Amino acid sequence: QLSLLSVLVAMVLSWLMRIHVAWPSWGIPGASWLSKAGAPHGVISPEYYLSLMTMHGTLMVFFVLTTAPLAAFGNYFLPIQIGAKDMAFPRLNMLSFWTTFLAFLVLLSSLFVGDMPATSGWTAYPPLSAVGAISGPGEGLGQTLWIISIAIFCVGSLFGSINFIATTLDQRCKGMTLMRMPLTVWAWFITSCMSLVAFSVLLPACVLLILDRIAGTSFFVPAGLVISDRLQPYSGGSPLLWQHLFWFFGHPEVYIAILPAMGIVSHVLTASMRRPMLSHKAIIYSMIAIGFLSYLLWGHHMFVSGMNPYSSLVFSLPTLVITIPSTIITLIWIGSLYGSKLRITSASLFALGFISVFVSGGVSGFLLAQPSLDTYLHATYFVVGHFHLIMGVAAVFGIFAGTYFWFSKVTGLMMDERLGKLHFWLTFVGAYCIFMPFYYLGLAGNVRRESQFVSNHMQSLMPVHRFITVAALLTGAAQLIFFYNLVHSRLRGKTAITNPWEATSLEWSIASLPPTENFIGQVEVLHDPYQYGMEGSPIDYLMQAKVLPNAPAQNSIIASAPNGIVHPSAAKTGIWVFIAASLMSFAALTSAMLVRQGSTQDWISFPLPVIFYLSTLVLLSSSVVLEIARRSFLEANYSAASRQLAVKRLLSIVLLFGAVFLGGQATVVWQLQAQGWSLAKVPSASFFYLFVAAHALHVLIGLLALAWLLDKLYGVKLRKQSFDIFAIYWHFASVLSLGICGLWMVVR
Amino acid sequence: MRAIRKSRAIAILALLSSKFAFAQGCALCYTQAASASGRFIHALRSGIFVLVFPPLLISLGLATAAYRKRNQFQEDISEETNARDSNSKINSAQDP
Repeated sequence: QLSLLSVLVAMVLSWLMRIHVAWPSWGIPGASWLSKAGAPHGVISPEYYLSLMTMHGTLMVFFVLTTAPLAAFGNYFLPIQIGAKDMAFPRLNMLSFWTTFLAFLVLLSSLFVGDMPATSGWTAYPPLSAVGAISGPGEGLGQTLWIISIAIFCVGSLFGSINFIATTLDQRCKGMTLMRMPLTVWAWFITSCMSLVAFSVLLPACVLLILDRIAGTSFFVPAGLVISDRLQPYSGGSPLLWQHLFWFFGHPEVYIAILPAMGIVSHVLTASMRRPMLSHKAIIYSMIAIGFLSYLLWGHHMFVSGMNPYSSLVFSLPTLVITIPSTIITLIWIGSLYGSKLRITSASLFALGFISVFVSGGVSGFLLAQPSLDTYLHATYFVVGHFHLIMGVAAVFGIFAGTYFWFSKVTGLMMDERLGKLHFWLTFVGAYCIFMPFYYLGLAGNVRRESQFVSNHMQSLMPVHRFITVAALLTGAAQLIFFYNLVHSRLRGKTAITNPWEATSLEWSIASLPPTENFIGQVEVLHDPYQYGMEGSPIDYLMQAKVLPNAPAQNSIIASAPNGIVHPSAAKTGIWVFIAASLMSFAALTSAMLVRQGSTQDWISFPLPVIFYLSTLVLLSSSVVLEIARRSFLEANYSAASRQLAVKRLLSIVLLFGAVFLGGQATVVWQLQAQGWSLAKVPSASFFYLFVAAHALHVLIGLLALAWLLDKLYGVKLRKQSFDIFAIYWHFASVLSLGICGLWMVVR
Repeated sequence: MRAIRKSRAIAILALLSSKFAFAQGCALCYTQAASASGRFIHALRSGIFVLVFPPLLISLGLATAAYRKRNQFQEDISEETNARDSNSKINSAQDP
């Protein structure tokens, strides 16, 4: 529902943009209601056009393409498809949703508060996004809200990723080996791994950007910048640094949007073709390869930034190589489709449509991967056509395919197939009418991000723009069919049977509108998920799992994890995944520091107070004490009263050491500030304070957990797993302090 | 066959002879990069290296975890946990 709302808002914003591009002098009814300053008398100003573009891009990329295929479908179907009762951490799941919802509200509020929303695009390039209101309309409160919203979204996504990874690795039912998992589950798992890394980098990048705006630091804004005849007080940051961090997130983000859709399409197509894919394993390995390679491409977004040409070559190669697994998957789809008895349903039509637009958008990617061609095409509508087709339309087709396929399972009611097919054809033809002309515009040199082309050499291209606008309006209107179908079917749809598509995976073994705990009884997976085309039997498929409804509740989740208690193995996986995310964030800060250090000559070393080293030593000592306490707790004779008291005392010492460490770090910051090493003026100090604050936050969380642990210990309710997990976390925090200490001894 | 070889050779030559990309897209970035010394280029390279390795290690870690748990199901884990839990219950029962 959140994604549906987002896509509605984003679609309306895109209509406003397209109408303005095609007929720049038109007053659009209702536009002035959105912003009187941005659209006086309904005529959209160039700045407001950029605001609309920013909001459209942000809503679509973050709240639709990232959220719907992964968080929406994944949260519902991942546990069912692996035979689990629920996600590993249901509370974290809920927290993830509400965090994302909060991010959405913050972003949406920027449409109505302040002068107008941010104008710097969904990529938020500094210095425009970093210098504040002086750089123009929308760059005051609007941009600040944008950054806060994205930072909150990162937190929500990280929660989700931890949950998905732990659920996939630790919650699988009997017989569900990794290679027996459906392609959807593989896609969600790989995407979660990618999200984990990508959002761990975007989060600190947002923190740096917001510090540039509100604390006057100079991470991204170069020295000597003059705006409105005023020299800006920045000491020499680098706008390239933002590109470096942002695109590390931004490129995997493309695959974060598309991989779940690939999984859904494979899943839907297999059921529709009545035969397995030519190679189930090849699709899995290709998706893994895409996930792995997606981390090595981000530099290609900086081809035109003046970066070292040899670095361009390094990034160009994996950019070309990543097309290989994508091509393998596409060829497997096409090869599997050839000669199959395809059942034409709304879901299968959208899956076929996905392949079509994915190829149409992907082929243009070959051209953009070539630095010399990218130089010409980079700032044109060619890129707009490319990413809309491959990332936007393809992923949206995947979402539609999933919706038509699984609607009956979620609601217990069927969607209207005739309306679904009509919706497909109008959307399919409409999408091509909108986005293929973008390629033509790009090749003709039509630059993007400009709000009107009436008074320059691009005027001759206006008929193409008008055609695109009409197509966009009609295609958008066609979506009303989908919304009508969705609402009508929800209210008056035909009752769905358990397995309307005669599909094989686990979700089709349970009742449509699944019971609260998904499975009642024991689930056992017998083979891989796509056993179609069986000969010599009345039905041509074999269900993947055996569910024994009358068997006693032996499902391990019920047996091992009563309500409110997280599965021990999943909890351990969860904490390690959290540590990986933390490490990635610190790596991003370290990388940013190295780039910033070399960008200008304003890097000044400063002496670290002795108390910094001492407090690090205190934290390390606390780790040793904790380990002694843990071992005492694990000993068989723990129940002895004296031993219990010893453990309690040792943990209290750890608590004390942690508090001393925090006090020590606060003193370090206070001393450095007193010596004139301010956050805003000295870049080395800016980074030091950031490292200290980020680490202190980790220790603070650890102290709160320790207080909880002590409370449980006094109540004699403490479980071994809680102690173990806390110990892992605390040791990590200690090792991190040592790492930060070492880093600053080398770098400062 | 010959034509394919020829076209391959042309394609490889075209790739090798591509010109370096300068900053037609972003004047500010180019000005900054062009005015920067070798120090900045070196710093950017170091920054790239620092960002490349952690995801590779994390991927390796996750792949190892997935491989080790490839045939491990909840039931196996549960049995182990139940055994541990009953152990700790015995300990708790002995508590004063």
